[in-house]
Amino acid sequence: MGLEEHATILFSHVDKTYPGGNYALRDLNLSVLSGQLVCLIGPSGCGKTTTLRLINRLVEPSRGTIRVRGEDIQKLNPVALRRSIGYVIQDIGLLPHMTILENIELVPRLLGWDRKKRRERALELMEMVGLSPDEYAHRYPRELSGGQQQRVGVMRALAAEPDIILMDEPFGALDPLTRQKLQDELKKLQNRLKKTIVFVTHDMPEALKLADRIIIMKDGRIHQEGTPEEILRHPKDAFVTQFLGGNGQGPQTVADLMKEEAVTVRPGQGVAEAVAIMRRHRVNALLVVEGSQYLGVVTAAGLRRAAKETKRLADLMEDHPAVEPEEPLETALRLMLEEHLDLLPVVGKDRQLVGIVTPSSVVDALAFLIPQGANGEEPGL
Amino acid sequence: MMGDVVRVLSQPSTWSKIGVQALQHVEIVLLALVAAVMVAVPGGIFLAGLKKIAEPIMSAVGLLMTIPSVSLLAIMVPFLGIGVVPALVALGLYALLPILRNTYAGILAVSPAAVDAGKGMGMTPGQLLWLVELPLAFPVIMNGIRTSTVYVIGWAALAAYIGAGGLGDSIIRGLSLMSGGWLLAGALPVTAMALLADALLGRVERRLTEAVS
Repeated sequence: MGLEEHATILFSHVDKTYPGGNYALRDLNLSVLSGQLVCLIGPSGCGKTTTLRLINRLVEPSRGTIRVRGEDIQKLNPVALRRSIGYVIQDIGLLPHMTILENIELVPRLLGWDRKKRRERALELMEMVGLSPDEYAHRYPRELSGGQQQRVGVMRALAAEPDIILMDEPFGALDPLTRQKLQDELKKLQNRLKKTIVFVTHDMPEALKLADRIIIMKDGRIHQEGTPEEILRHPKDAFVTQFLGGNGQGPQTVADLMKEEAVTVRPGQGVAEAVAIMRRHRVNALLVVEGSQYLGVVTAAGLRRAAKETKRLADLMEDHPAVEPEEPLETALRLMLEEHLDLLPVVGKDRQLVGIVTPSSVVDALAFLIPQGANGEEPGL
Repeated sequence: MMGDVVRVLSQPSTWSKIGVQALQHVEIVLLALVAAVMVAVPGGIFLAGLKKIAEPIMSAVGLLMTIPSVSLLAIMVPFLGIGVVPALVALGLYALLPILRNTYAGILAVSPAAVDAGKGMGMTPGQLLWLVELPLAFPVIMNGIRTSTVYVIGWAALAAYIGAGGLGDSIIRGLSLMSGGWLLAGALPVTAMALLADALLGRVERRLTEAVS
């Protein structure tokens, strides 16, 4: 509670109802500390953008109070409030009839800075994000690529040196490569400038990469909040887990994780043959398959026990847990990591073998769940 | 007939008359347009903010357009007499609708992202209008002005019937004297004027469109 009193942005019991009684937000309590980058994340319609737009009064609350820098914003002039807060949107919203320089100078101009001061500031910003003023200052937005345009969008938000910046899916419309680049640039910028940033996204990898704190929203409420590490370690429920793996970026189900080419043997084959196949494929277990039906697993240990006998694999194979492709990723991870299995056959209808989960596919999945060095911390699971 | 054409068109006195009439014509057209722009642009902006009442007003103005121009000119006479004033009122009313409609549509069509960014940066409603909405709607407004200009150049020829002067005088003279020469002397400059205005304003419109794309 003590911390919350010093919050730069503080929501207390905020509701937003739309005509017809639909709740966009319900009893929202939220605080953003100075210098933090907080990501609001959730599926569409969860209220994250509404929350953002409440902060600069583009949306008015139906109930509750919002304080910015300790002041109840309902008592502030909305125009003055907005000029004191940077604003970046997904559609960029540069003014097409103004040059890059004029676009960046816009808020300082609204604030009445003199021409020389705002020109200097705009040029300084262009240098800072690596857009050469000589080349770009007098160009128009349409002459720039999407990534360059959004760099200008970010500069425009920074121009009047606001301490708070609101970003509404700023990189959502960019191609993945450009998006990553701009994320990296924002991260660097933030390390230097230490602004208070509220960043709306629906992309969990983006949130994990950028956020000091993540607020996951669902149905107009906060569903879970914490540092990226906390959320990764203790996802509250299946919704969060799915969100962590989801987004079409990482695997969500066993089918996303499995490999389709499994090393198989027939039940009629012998021990020597099985060992030869293991050596060739550098594996320590084989799937026994009749036709394409999964029957069981022969392991290196099982073969060793039967080394002296002339048995067929049908006699040596062991019962082994298998999963179905539609099952959640979590099931496969638990079996592999907690039951210490070396492999996990994936079977469909009538025990047809459709794929296999191996230790390396598990590591691939973890790579999506645990951002690599994004927080400068060693992830430990 | 052909003899008449050559005779009339080859007389210098014809062309000095036509010169005077052309100037009158341009004057009537410009006055009607300026009046229409001064009413229709603010009107369109105002209506864009009040969508609920905008549609009925648009259809009312549309109705006005369906009154044949000769009748509208005639209707003016009992109220305003004859001469330039009733002609200007009638032409101004005609010029109103395309400009009003395009201003209204142009403002509503301004990219929501630009408006949102403008508001979010802290523009007052007036700044939003001058810095964002009007510049971005300008090509569409210009298109309305072009349409009105071309119409009004043609209709102004009819205004000669109620004594407004202009090139319509020569056309009426040609009709009453069955003189192909006078008909052409009036009709050709009107046509040329309309085509020229269309081409020039079309260029302006394209420039503006490029500037905001």
